[in-house]
Amino acid sequence: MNKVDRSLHVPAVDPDAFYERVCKADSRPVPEVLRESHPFPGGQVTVPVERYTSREYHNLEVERLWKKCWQMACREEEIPQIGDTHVYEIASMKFIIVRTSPTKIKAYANSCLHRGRQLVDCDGRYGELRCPFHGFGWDLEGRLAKIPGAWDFEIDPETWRLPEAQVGTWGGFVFINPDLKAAPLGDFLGDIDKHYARYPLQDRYISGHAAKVVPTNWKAAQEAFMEAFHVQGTHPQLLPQSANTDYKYDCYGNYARAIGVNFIPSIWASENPNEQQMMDAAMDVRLDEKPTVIVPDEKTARLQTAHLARQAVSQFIGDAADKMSDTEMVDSFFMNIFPNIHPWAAYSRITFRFRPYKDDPDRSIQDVYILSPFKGERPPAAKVRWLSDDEDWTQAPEIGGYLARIINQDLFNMQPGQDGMKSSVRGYLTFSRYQESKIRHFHSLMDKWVDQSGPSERPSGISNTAGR
Amino acid sequence: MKELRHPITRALYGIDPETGLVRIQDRGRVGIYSAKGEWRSGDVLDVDPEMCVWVGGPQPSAQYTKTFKTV
Repeated sequence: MNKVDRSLHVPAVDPDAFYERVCKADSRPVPEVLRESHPFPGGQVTVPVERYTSREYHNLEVERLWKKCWQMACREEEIPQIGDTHVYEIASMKFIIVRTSPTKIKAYANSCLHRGRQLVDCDGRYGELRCPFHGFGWDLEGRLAKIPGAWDFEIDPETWRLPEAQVGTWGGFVFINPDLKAAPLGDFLGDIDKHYARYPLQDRYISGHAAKVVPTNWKAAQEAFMEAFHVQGTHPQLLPQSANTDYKYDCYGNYARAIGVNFIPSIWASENPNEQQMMDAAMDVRLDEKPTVIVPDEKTARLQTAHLARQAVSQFIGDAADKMSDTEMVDSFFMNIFPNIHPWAAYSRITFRFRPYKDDPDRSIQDVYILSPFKGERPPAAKVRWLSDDEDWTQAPEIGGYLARIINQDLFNMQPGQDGMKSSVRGYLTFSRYQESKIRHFHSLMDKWVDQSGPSERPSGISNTAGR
Repeated sequence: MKELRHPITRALYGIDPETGLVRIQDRGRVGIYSAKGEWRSGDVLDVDPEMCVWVGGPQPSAQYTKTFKTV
């Protein structure tokens, strides 16, 4: 018999020590990278609401972040063939992402050099990039190829090449950076590969993709997915099987991770559930319904879920599934890469992205990708389903009904969150020392990228206000 | 009724068969709420609106198979 030590149910005051106990009770060896401890230093901080509500700050973000930083534009599989083109939109800028060879992708500003009309209106496959307005055309390498009325212009083709952005790929994602002087993507990502070595994201395909304009600033939208502290308020139904206050948060260069242990109840759950009750909570089984997954007497919910998850994964990775630890099979590993992409690790299939919506600081675009493993030939990437303002996430069945209902609970907070910030008298938000440390880490990077002036000149900035 | 017990307050959240709204039972009292946690009738005045969203919102068939989790 291999049961988890019930003493794990004791509330933890040290998440690293708690997770270490969980790892020691694991039925398989746990990779060292998961046991690393990289807490973000410092204490409670405040952040001015203007970071979320002011057009001035949004404009600074455009100039100092979105024009300068590596950001995820699409997945490689969305542009598999030469000529395949994706239009990437960030704030009010648009870029053409085009595959120019089996191994090369280029990115251009989506603007005709004649009179500025956007060259490409929608995703597709193109043999050239031709402006519909007057017919100026560029080849896929960005070289000027067609000049209507050439006799009427004095054009040096070399100065009429399409302005490019840098392109880099990682984990099957295509990143761009409009700053041609920026260091390569690899430098920006640092040692992130070690977190995905056993489950590389380039071995996934988009089995579902939904996007929606949500009624809050992109930073506020994503911050809800950067901590589990909100679970007792926003997702109370998860408390019987989610040790939400014991999540482990580790912050590295330009990325951060949270590890959340499942099938250990939260300290907020007022009664200690048994193993079947934890499984029923995870499966959303109601009081008058029969369990959908039975926990055998000799097992715990955690071990049974790990067993079932290994069975599922083995169809893709074969015998390697048996080496996957319980924690890799059962727990939540939510990663975020600055500034705005959240590619969850292990065999979770979730990736989120959050972008400003045009130049409106009160709205943003949330993308939900489901990246699934596959065997044999890569299935075609699912097209994005855009949800309207009136639709909720359950109207995108391809992302899964359970996940959609969870995100609906987060959506419920978004408009009131944005409205509430505008009613704020204090004028600042407060982030805690540990449970919100991924958010503190994020704002420290925003401080570096966007708030570049000295402390006395900062239009908005982090201040250490422990005890305020 | 598809009832779920609130993990903190122990109140029962379910669907009222007559109105299709969220029915909350708490220590002998009953309250009827919308799926957004808006009071409609009854004596229960403490509500967790997110629990109403979970119980009263759209309930598509959960793609939460026995073998593979999405979340």
